[in-house]
Formats: sequence, structure tokens, C-alpha cells
Amino acid sequence: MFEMGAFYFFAALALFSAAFLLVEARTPLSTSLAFSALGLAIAGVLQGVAADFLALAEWILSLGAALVLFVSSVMVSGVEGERLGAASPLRVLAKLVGAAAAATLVGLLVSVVVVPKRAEIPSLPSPGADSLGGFLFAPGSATLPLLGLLLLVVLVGSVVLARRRLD
Amino acid sequence: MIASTWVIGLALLLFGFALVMILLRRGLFSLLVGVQGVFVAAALALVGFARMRAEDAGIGAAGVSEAQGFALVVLVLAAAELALGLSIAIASVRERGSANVDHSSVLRW
Repeated sequence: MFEMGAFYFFAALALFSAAFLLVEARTPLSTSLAFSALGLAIAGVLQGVAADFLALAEWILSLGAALVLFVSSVMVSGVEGERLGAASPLRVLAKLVGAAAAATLVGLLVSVVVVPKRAEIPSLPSPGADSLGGFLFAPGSATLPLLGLLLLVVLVGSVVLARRRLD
Repeated sequence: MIASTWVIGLALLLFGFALVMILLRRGLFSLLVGVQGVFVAAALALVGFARMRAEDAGIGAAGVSEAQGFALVVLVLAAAELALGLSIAIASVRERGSANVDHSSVLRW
């Protein structure tokens, strides 16, 4: 019952964040906040469907992506137009995102550390990090080396692209 | 137990939102966020379909973990795309003074 409620809450949060991104988010701060809220909600949804490792990965990736997005957009546009006064809606949104991040992290840690086995779903396989690691590190599997190579290429390419001037 | 159809439906809705965002917005940063939404929806759909297969055909934990592995690959690809896209956006703003994609309508070659 609790899992169902958590799933519906995070699904509603994800849809609200996506709608906010589509309709309202026009500034770097609001876009980054809504984007991180979307990622955190997706992490909560993934945790609700017994994809704990994936949820943790999404939690880390979404916060990192939102931070990089915010820094990059501030670099090129600035935040002079945004005022974070006491009654600012962005301040409320930032608090909501922080609460969602904390709730998601606590839920993930509880599900991974405190309740490692999901005995309440006996009919469905719910692989843990060991099973996922078995897939990623299987003998002959090139998934992880290829991903590492891709990220290295992206790292170098990003630095080169950001430094050069387009002709 | 959460039904797989709810997960797939949520992925579909998120994909729709992201697609509309890509089609309507002209800012490069908004486009990047929209593409990120598409990637996240794809990862969620992978997990949902693996769950559905586990319910219907009984593919077992190995099959589900394989799907989650692919979803992880999709998430990493999304992060890589965001990094490259932001670099291109920064270069574009430096050169043209705008992140509007309509201003980048001429190919170099």
C-alpha cells in the first residue's frame, strides 16, 4: 500500500515537473529546478518498481545534470532577472525539490540497506545490484568499456567545443 | 503491486511532454532538456516492458537485469548527450550571441 502511494506521488511529481518545464520554465534557475525535480521523481518511480540500482544512478545523474545545466546556462545568460525574495515561487520550488531529493534518497537507502529482499512480490524477479553487475561485467561483454570510451570521447569533445569559436 | 501498464503509461506521457517541448521551444537549453526527457522516458519504458515480460512470460531475474542494464546505458548516453549539447550551446552563444536555434540556420560547409 505504501509502495503504491509512493509510486503515484512520484509519478504525479514527474508529470507536474514535465508540464512545468513545458509551460512555465523560462529561466536557468526554474528550468534547472524543474529538471532536477523530474529526475528525482523518476528515481522514485524506479525505486517503486524494484529497480533500486537504476534509481540510485538516476538520482545521481539527475542532480549532476541539473547542476551542469544551471552552471552552463548561467554562464551564457546570467540570472540578473531572477529575484529570490521571501515570496518567490522559485524559492518554494527549490524547497520542494530539496524535500523530494531528501525523500528519494531516504527511500532508496531504506530499500537497499534496510529491506534488501522484496518478499512481498514473490512472482516478479527483482534483481539487485549483484545481478545487474553480473550483466555489465559478464565475460566478453563490451558494454562497460564502450561506455567508458564514449564518456572519455565526450569529455574531450566537450572541452574542445566549449573552448573554440565557431567560424 | 504496481502494474506495468502504469509504468509504461507514465513513460509514454513523459515522452509526449518531452516531444512537445522539442517541437515548440526554440531555445537550445530547452531543447536539450526535452531530449533528456526523451531519454529518461525510454529508460523508464525499458524497465516497464521488462516488468511486463516478467509478468507475462516469466523471463526471470536475468532478463530483468539485462533490461535494467540497457536502461543504465541509456541514462549514460543521455548524460553524454547533455554534456556535448551544452558545449555546443556555449560555443553557439559565444559566436552568435543567442541560444535560439532559429539563428543557426546556415551550415558551415
